[in-house]
Amino acid sequence: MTDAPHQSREVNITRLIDDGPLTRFQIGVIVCCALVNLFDGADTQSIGVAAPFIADEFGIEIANFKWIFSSALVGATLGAATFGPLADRFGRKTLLIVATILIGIFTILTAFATSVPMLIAFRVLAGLGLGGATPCFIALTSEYAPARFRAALVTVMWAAFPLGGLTGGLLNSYLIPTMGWRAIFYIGGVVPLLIAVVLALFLPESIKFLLARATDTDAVRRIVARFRSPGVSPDARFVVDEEHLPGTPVRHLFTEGRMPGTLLLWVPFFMGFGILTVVTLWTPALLRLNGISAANTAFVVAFNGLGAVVGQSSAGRLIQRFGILPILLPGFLLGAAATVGLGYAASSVALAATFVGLVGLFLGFGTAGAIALAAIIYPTSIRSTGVGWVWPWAASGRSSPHGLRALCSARAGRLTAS
Amino acid sequence: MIVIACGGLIAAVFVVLFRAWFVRQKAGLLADDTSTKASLLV
Repeated sequence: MTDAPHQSREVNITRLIDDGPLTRFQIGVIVCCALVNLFDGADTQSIGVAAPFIADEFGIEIANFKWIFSSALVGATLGAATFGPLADRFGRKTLLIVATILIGIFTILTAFATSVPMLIAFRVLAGLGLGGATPCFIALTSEYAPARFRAALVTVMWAAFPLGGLTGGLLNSYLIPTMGWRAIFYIGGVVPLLIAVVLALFLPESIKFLLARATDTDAVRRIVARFRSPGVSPDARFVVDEEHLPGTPVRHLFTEGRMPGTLLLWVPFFMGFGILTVVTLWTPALLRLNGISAANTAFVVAFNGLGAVVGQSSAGRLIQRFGILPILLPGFLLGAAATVGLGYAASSVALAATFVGLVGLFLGFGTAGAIALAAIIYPTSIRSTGVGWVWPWAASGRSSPHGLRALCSARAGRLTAS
Repeated sequence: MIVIACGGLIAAVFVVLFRAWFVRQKAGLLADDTSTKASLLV
């Protein structure tokens, strides 16, 4: 009796979502997730914009900010690795609200910091929320998206992150001169708290999660009535085409033949995010060395964000149309070629902007495509964990420029000495 | 920048290996006719 998706006694939720149209309710869920991701992107870049002004006020060297920058990254890594398994146990909605509240509270407190250790502590704790939200909203989007749109919707939602970085950057350039650096963190903290209220009131728990855990059939019935069929039979029984995996979710990333896929997926994450961060961090210095003005440098760097938004929002749709290999492979190869091109084009604003944009575009394909794959390859019981555990590798990639810089400096030092 | 770009080449190699695993895993699931990992069938 599972053939008819609804009206019958047994309602197959997997088929109801996969075979049905994309409803306004499902779009609403994805918009809620994108909203959190947008502020994730805006908040992540805010400390970089505020750094020179904080350094002036605190009387510290800007070079010492590496610990403050790294603190948010450490928090995000811990957040993704811990919130992922917790979301598989206690629910995506609950953990997403907790993460959003953490972002709000500790971003507001950042504005009240009076010393570097306080700043580091608040950025670690805000980072915990920033990283912790990621596996929750990716899992929720993936679980409400019909199979034929799943990769496309996950990457479109994911593109809200660079979009948040871009819009946050523009807003910050207005806020800092008019209201001071603290205004960034007041606004950046209050808005996530308001979003948390919206999530609590309107965001449903993942219906597949509820069924995989077999926790609350009434809640499932209410959600089904909201998003598809008001006429669900009162004695309807709900099922999903997936089994609950008992025990520690992290362990299941390596069982039932999933270990090679899990390990193979981590490397592109490390490399993709590493190159994107190197290009974002080093391009301004590279351009200044070639005599390009600060205003033109900011213009060139903006192209990286623009390329990333286009690449990340289209990656999933292209993967679903053409497959994994025809999109991810050229994405990483052309991203590498554009990185080399950037090294030779740094004396021209137009050429540098083109190559920086291409790096963002192609590596946007690669990284967002890899995120979509992480959301797709794992079953519901361990999806948040699977997505959360790729994050330490992305964060390590983002930290690698600091290690690489230290390595280059040490080598340069040895050459000078000899 | 050439050193950095090598990261892209390494990522590409791992994408090829991932794709090989993915195809094998999908084929195995179809052969087993199990529905427990329907999410793989994209």
